[in-house]
Amino acid sequence: MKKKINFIILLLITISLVYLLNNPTHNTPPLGKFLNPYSGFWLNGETDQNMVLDKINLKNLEDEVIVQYDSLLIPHIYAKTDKDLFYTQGYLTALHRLWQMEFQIKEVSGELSEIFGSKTLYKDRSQRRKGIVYAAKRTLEESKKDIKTYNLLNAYVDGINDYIETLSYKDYPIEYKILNYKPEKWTLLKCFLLMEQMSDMLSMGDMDIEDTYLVNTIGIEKYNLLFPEYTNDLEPVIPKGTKFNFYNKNKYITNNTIVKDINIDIMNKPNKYIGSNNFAISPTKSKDGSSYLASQPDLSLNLPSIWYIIHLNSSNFNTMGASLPGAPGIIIGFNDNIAWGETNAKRDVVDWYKIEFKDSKRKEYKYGNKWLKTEKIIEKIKIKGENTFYDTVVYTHYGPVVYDKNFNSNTNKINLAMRWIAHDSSIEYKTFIELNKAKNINDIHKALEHFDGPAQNFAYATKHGNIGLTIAGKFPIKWEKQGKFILNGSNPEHEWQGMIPYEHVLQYQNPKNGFVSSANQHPVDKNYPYYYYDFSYENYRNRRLNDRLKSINLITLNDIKKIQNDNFSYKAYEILPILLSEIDTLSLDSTLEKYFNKLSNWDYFSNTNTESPAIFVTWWKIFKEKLWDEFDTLKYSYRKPNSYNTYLLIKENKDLEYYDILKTNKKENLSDLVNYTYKLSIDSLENWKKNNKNKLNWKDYKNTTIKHLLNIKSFSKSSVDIGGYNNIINAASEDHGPSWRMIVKLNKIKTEAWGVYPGGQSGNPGNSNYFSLIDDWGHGIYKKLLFNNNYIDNRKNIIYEKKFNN
Amino acid sequence: MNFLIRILINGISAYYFISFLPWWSIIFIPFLLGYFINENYFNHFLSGFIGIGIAWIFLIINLNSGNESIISEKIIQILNVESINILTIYSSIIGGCIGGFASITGLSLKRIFIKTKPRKKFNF
Repeated sequence: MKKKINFIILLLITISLVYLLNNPTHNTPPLGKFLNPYSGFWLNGETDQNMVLDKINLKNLEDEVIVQYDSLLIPHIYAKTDKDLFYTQGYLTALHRLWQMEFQIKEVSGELSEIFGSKTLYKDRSQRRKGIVYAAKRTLEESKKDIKTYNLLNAYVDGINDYIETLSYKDYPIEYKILNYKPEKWTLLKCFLLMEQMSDMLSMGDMDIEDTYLVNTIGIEKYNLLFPEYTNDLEPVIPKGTKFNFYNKNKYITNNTIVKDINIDIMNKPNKYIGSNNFAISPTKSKDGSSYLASQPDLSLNLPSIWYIIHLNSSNFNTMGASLPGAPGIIIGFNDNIAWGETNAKRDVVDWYKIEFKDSKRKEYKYGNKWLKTEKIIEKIKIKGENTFYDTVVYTHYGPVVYDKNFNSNTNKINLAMRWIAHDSSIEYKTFIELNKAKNINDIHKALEHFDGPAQNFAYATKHGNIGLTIAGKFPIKWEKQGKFILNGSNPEHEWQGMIPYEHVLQYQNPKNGFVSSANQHPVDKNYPYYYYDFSYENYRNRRLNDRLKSINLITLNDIKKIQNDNFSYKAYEILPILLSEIDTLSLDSTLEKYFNKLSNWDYFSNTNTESPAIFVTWWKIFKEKLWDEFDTLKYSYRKPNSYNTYLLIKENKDLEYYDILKTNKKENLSDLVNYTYKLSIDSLENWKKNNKNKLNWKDYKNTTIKHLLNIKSFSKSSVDIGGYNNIINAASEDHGPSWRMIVKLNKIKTEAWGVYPGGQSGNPGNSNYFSLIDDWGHGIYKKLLFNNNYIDNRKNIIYEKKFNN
Repeated sequence: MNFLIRILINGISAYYFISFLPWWSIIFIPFLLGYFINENYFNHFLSGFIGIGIAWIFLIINLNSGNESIISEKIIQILNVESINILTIYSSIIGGCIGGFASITGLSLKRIFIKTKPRKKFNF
């Protein structure tokens, strides 16, 4: 008996040991599974790229495909059929980026709690309530109508899945092993969810609810002073004074009462500092007579990088550039004939409608003199280690009721439905697939008609010397100020008035001055017959960009590189003289004087090893905090005036009640505030120095970090050696910046391109390529991209080549 | 059978382990050795522990030097382990423990079926 007990005890020990080591405990991966030398993390180290590439096995091809990789690990695919081309793109993208592709989808569709447990529940609920999946499903239905695009998309999906099928635990990307979950099958819906993610990131930001609350609190006059829609010195995308030969025949409504009693805490919003620039140069303005296209999308700086560079070649395509992992085709790039690049074209395409339900069952809501029926969708949110969470979201014909008694609405009375252009079905992929093979400006124009959003400023250039810019997207027609504040959902007059027809969309080609450009500024001046609005347009980078382009007579490749890496702070150039003139220089001690002199002699360039940008940025931040301290007493979500308007206000107003610092008994004026905040900032900087080897330099102070998507420190790169900041062309801030720098030169003989981005083609932190381009990116060193129509011509510059057959 | 030979068998079985099986299948060889070879518990635990542990150390050193520690240097920061060497040792202890316990589990099963001979000194 004793022996039996002995055996049972030992057996139990062994089994539970295996069990424990094969399953995760709180916050640690399953140790045995993770650390063993057969399938654990040790196998995720990759220093020999050929060992990775040798695993490629394209099984479901129609015809022959040749795959090459160059020394940057950029794949070059030469296929006979388009289907094979996109199939291979899917397969190869997954090879380097599978985890990131899937994680982005989980995040946007509100499924993170499956992996992380209840700590991401709020985030998941926010995503679900915005109706992201609902929108992607509508687009999926729509996509079936265009069979050609549909087939190519499906080929891409098949490629991803064929790669996933080859994997067992030991091959999983490291993040799966750390978090202990496994890749799921890819679907067409996920490709559309990725586009919704772009919309979520680029077109979701609005201030309707905050501004309604503000108007109710501070009154419309003060609101208009602090948050003007236009200022005098705008430099819009479409040059000032452009005439339009059409009218907006829609009605105007002036009766616009502001909804009262808004007490809502707003869900998290995308970072408003996202900003990009692009420009095209015509042959008349370039030194070598070629056309140039430069594109620099500024987004959240992440690893694995948001972009994957790829070259696609078949009888219909020969295109290269930045693709989004999870989306077929090229998003920002070029082909033999044309080049194109996008910047975000913000427009108020999100509106909020106050909904009046008939009763607490919420089955009907008021619309005119009728009651319309609602639809309820129950969102099932799976949570790791806990019971599934069910959230009921009520849908109106406008869209989902995001804020209600179940979510963030502090009184039961307020129900807000969201009308968002991204909820409409759309066919963006068609735009990109057509752009990828466009031959001339007409093809581009046709391709952009299918582009619904997130609205973008598309700049383009062709090898025949045409350049142009189109603000593509679906834009609702609105009456003056419609949707600036919360709208009344029961009043049919508050509906959007239809969409601006494509022939009225803003665009211009071949201007006399030889260039087109954009940098997230106002699209156009007030001459445009349609009302447009956004709460935050750029007014620094655009002016600097145009100044630079105007000041150079004949532009060279080198000039363009310099412009993309330009560190001039227009903001400091305008603001600093005002601040410095208010400083009481007699009262400065030696430290304060030292910094004062430094700032006075600054040339406004935010270069890596200078001190002045750190002083200015800190001072302006603290100054704004103290200036707008009146806002801190507000209880619910609000916003403060932006830098540009703050500058205008302090320039033009010596007396502003806001100069007063609430904390003190004294009534401060501008000069008091300037001197007070100056001392505070120098204190803060001296403090920083003490903790950082007594050396202040911009690069370390700013600490630009390329963050891994899971925010794992050793998978991220911090303190990157790069200058610039928000509102500077080289827009590298703490965590945002130029996510891809591309320059394309086109002429009748050939297309050449240069590019660099903060990351590497391989998304595996254990691959030697993972961080590879970050330093070059920071220093503005570009890589010439290998681009040939025939694969034989690549042979000198490749590390891998293999032919696959069906 | 000789203690060293058992270590060798355990070690070789773990070193040339077929990687498509789940990693914990390494328990079967030490288990069988424990079942078929009559030795005391301590002796068996040790041969399982050392055999598998050492095999893992070799395997890990091979893998890690093959990829220039590119992944392990990042993982030690996540797991808060001081150095790659220490992580290697921790990992091998995991393999060793499993091997050791598997081995004495095999032995204890065997002992159910055999009549106890005149008592040997119990060393466990």
